[in-house]
Amino acid sequence: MDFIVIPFVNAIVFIYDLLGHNFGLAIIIFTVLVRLATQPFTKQQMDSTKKMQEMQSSKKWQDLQKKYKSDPQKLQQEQVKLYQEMGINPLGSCLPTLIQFPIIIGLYWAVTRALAASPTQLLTLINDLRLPDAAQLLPINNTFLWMDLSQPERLVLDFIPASLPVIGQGIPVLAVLVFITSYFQTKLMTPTGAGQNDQAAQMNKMMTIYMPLLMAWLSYAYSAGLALYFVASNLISIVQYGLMGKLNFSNLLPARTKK
Amino acid sequence: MKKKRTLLLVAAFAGLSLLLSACGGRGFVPTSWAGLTLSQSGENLYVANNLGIYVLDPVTGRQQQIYPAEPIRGASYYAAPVLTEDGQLLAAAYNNRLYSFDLATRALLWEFSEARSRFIASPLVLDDVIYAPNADGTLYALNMAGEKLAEFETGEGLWATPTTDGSAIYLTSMDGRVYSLAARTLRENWSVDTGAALVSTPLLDPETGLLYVGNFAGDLLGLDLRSGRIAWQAETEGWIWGPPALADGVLYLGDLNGNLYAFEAGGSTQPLWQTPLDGQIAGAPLVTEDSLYIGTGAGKFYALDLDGVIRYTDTVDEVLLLGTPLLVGDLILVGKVNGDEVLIAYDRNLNDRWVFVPEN
Repeated sequence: MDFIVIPFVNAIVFIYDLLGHNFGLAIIIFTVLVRLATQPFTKQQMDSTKKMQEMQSSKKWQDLQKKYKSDPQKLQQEQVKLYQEMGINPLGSCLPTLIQFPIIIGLYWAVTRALAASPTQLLTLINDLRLPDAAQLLPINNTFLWMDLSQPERLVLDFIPASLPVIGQGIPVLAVLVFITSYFQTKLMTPTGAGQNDQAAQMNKMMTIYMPLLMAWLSYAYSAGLALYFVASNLISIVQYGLMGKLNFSNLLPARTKK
Repeated sequence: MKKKRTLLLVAAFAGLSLLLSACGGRGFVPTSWAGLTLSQSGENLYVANNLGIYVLDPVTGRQQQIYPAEPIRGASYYAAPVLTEDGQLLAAAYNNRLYSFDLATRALLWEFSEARSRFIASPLVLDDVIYAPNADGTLYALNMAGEKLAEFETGEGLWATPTTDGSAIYLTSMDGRVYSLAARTLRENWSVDTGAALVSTPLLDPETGLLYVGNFAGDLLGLDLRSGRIAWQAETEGWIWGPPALADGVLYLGDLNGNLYAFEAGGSTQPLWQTPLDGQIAGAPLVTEDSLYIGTGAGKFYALDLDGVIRYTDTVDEVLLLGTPLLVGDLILVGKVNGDEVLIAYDRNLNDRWVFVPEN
């Protein structure tokens, strides 16, 4: 991953320098820039997903499922034919994601590496930096608002007794924000159930809860810089989808039960 | 079907966690190289590495004990432990706490928890006062019961153990300044800006009355002890991480470009010699009567003569051999980063004698 991470580390430290040594803002701006750069892939993925969904809710597709229920091989052949007829590339929604994936992981790793909170991490960062006068840029100023970006974030409020369990040592504001934004992101960006079988719908439902929980736990346990990246990334995704008119607000409404 | 779905989800989360954490190591989890301390009798070697402080027989490398007796959740230790005259073992930890353990029973005696960041470096103990530098930029002065006596705040993190001449405390900070503070009160005597971050312990030379420090700009500076004035300055090609070593009026120093230098202390600012090695040098070279020993970030360990000529080299793949090597009898010990082994012992010809893998 170094071929992605090292340029990203240099870019984020360069932005940090431009912004007057504010690493929190550098994380946000860099996340926005990377997301903008990968916007064409995101759009392509969305279009392919939409086409696929439309096809899967078509009568022709449903009929195929019923007709070849007991012959998976034949079903597959017929599905391929249908893809060709409707001009759909079945990998169309996967490929853009696969291309974006290393970029997003690289972005995440660049944030971690630039924070360099221990000797081995700082030695790695020094090794990676190619910027002129890099010696003047280190150590990275990890302070952003009330947070030390290299530490797990907790907002300590004087009126909360320190003896209180969980929040006594501070409120994990970013972890809560990560959960909320991840939850809304997953909800708003999940397609409606049309065309989905029960299994897929169930899977989506579980992801809506488990994914935000996982992200919140990572944010609670690891550095605030990563949590800030998660929040920025979630919000930018929501905005991106919103600008393309793809947000699915109906998912936020309580499910109607059939009578 | 439900079971299959659950399995798929668990696998997906495990995969994501693994990918994000890249299996721990040097990326996600803050780590360092093992901190080494030899007991005064020379019979016990204390090795701080991650979850515990291991006590080894330095001759065989066999693990004898582990501190603390009861593991402390969330605590990881890398700074060399400090053994005090009143029977405490002081352990600086990455969970923002400084611990004191009873040397005899291994029980926790006290913990200091007011710091806001990691304790990267070991504390200094002088006349029943503990001086603990923290990455939050503050030097904490504590009594031997762990109660705060004073504190002194600098502009950036403190990653190096302070040094002392018995009356003043000399402190380097990542804000690029060197501070001279009155012992106990931590009142500032003087401070001087070196122009770039400092992460190594200052070296005091009683012969020249200079305090040597190296910074990230590659400047090796000799400061006047009384005023802080820069009395001597030499330059290296790379950033300076580790402190210099001083022997017979010669300063030996490595930089992060992998160069090893010798300078006449307080003399010419041109090096006596310069030898390029492979990999970052982040410790002080170990100086014996006729040799220098140093490890690098490329997994190389070198033995050189005092004129900088390489005599032996050992290569360990996929690891970093960092920190200042320690001489114990005829053995040379150096910390290993990456992999299960955390310490390697060489004889003077760089033959492996033992390696240490912690048993928790």
